[in-house]
Amino acid sequence: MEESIWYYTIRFYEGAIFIYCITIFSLYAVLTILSARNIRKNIRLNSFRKREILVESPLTPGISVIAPAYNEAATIIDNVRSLLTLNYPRFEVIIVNDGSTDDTLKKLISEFRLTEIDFAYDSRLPSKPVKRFFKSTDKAYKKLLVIDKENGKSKADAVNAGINAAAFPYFLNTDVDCILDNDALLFLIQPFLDEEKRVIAAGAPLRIANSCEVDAGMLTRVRPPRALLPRFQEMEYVRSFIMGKMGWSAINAVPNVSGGLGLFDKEIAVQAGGYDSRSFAEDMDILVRMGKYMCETKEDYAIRYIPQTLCWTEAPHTLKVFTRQRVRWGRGLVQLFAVHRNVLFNPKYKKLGLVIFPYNFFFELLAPVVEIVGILLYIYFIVMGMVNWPFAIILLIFVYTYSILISSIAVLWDQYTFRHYKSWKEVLGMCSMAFFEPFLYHPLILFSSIKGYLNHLLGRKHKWGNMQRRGFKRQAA
Amino acid sequence: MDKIFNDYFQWPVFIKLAAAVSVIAVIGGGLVYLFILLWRRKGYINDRKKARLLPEMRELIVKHVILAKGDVPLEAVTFPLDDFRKLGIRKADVRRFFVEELMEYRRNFSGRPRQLLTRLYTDLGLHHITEKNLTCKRTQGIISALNELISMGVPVNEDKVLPLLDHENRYVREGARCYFVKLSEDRPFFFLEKISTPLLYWEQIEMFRIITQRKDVEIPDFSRWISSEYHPSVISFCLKLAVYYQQFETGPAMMKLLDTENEKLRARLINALGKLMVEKAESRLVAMYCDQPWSCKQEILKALGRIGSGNSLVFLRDKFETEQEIPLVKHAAKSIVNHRALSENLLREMQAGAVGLKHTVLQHAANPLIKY
Repeated sequence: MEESIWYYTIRFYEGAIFIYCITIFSLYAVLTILSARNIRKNIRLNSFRKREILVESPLTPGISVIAPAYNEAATIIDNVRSLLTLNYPRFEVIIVNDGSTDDTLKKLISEFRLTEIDFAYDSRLPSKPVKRFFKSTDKAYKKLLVIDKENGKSKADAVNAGINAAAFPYFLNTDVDCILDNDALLFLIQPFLDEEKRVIAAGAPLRIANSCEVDAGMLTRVRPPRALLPRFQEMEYVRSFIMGKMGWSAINAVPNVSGGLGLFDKEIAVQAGGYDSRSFAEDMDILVRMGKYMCETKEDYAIRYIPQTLCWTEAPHTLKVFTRQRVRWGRGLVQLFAVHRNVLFNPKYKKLGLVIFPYNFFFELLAPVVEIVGILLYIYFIVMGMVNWPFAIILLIFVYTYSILISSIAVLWDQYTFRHYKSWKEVLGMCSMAFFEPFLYHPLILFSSIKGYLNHLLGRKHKWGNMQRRGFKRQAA
Repeated sequence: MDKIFNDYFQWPVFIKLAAAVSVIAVIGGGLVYLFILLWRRKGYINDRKKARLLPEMRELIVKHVILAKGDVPLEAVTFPLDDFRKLGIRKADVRRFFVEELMEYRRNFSGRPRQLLTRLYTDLGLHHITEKNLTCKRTQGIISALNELISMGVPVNEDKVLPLLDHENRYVREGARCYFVKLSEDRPFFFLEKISTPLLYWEQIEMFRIITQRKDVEIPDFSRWISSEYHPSVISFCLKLAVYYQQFETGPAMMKLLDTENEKLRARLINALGKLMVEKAESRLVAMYCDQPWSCKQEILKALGRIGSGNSLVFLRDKFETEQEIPLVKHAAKSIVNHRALSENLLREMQAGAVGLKHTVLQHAANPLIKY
């Protein structure tokens, strides 16, 4: 009897896993089609829409660019200069010095001729105390505002301080070390101006800048990363942004806007309570709260993604830093579901409760658990000699070939749209990642996610480490 | 092979499905790489072709249009059309490169070269295909055609464009509106009468630019559309135009609408009244302040500063002292500062008496380094 229960349990799990697998693969197929349509629509739209008209128009809405900085002395000057030269008619750059212990602030003061000012700071959103405000006496830097605050041990805390000081109705959340496309603001503001629904946030793909050539904070040559770990991340970013986010954007079900680059409606972000400095997934958390706020106030809203890569960032290049980052993301996901558990399957929250949360619950949060249980079961079957090897191999081939297909389609969409890489060798290098990813990169992600879940469940303290940056390859003079 | 097929039909359903999907994935993967190859190849060939043709096109355009002597009347100018045709502009892709170049030059030049570029476009008969495309089935074709006509400044029979104002595709409708604003001789503002769905902000920016660049039409009195019978987005758009053209006579129409229940529209009306410095509206704005939501209160404070008559200084001081929300306090202070000479004494007095946050707000408002 006992044996038969065990037998049926295992058979049930096998069946359930297969259905789970088929569902997730079908969803990927649907996302592939949706993203293709959305990208095509965007490219067509851009073929006759001249974003340059925004530069000349007195009606263009203002944007506050908020970039927190913590111990960025080595690159801060180039990066701030790059932000100040963004192509947009009405914007301010708010650098939040988040209690740096190096000479970040000193360098800013001397380079940009900053002077301390009295500033009517409205602390609507919680953050650590702000000590001083600086503006430049040089008209060339009149768009710059520097906030010096106590270290809040999170980016969320610093961004909240930036939002409190922001003057414009939209704010761009970015990292000071990110390299932005010169037209980033012109691209990102478009969805806000072009919809009947109120667009509350918009994002664009991020790419890895590790092997790109950079000159004075400006990108001069795009290359895929040479090192294996960043290159796997590039593949993951292409798949996630070009295919995933663009697909979700087509049905207005974007789960999150990346912390590296996102334009937000300030009013809604403030009403939703701003960023939560205790959250480990603050970028997803704020979007959930903004979505909840819109549903509760019964206002129709949209969150959009555009396919143009507008931001290049340095990815973790060591296993230690990489796993630390992914453990935090994993932990953030569990935390998010714990905090917003009332959203799941709640029709009051429309797509957020019935599409975004269920998808993320079953196929993001549970996926590593299902996978780990599956692996353990597989080992058990092998040990017990219960494996039907021809069938097992067919199933493995099925998963492997399908995952390669999905990654390859992501590269295809990327090539169809922008052809960032100059040479064939670079494209092939990227494509080859799809073949090795399931063996080399995916186990790392799995391990980090499970570790993050356990850390959350066991209430372990998270250590915030500063990512040691290598800097970018400079263009030869 | 037969054995594999026989075995296949014996397998459990999920194994059959997995095997079938794997085969599709392998074939699909192969096709994906083939497409990557083809797209890159196509892109490469296109880039090369463009790189070869563009210098030739530019040389001809610069020589015969941009640097053409200005002593010949416009109507008498002739172009070596065969030289242009030799570029191969009958081919769709070459035509596209060439027209894109013409549009780019037209954007960057004004006066005679701009008119000559339009002449060259029509002399080469390039507008015939464009006109034909206005009635094609592909919406993308219609949009491109409208865009090309607008960019090249070539008017066509308005009856061809009129139905497009009611087209099911919003981008076609948008293109048709832009066409009327840009090229219609007698009824460039006709489209405003026909708007029943929101005029999106992007469209407003686009049409605002076209209208403000047009020097050959008489600008109408926009108060005609500042009326509750029009869509709020039309009213909002006309408010912007009224402010741009400093149409002080639109003030009464704006004041009439101040009781609207649409909060956003009310805020925009107050904003426009401020920008037009309608002094008559001051007492009304002060009277309505208390019952307004936050966004309108903010606009009222800003408007009073813009009007700057000095009549509301007591009100502004009161709001500076009694309001609890910092942005409102800040706007009250900014508006007092905006009164310049009229508020000098008051400001001095307030600065002497203010402490803590209120003092900081005053310093903030008076600091020329802080613009917003």
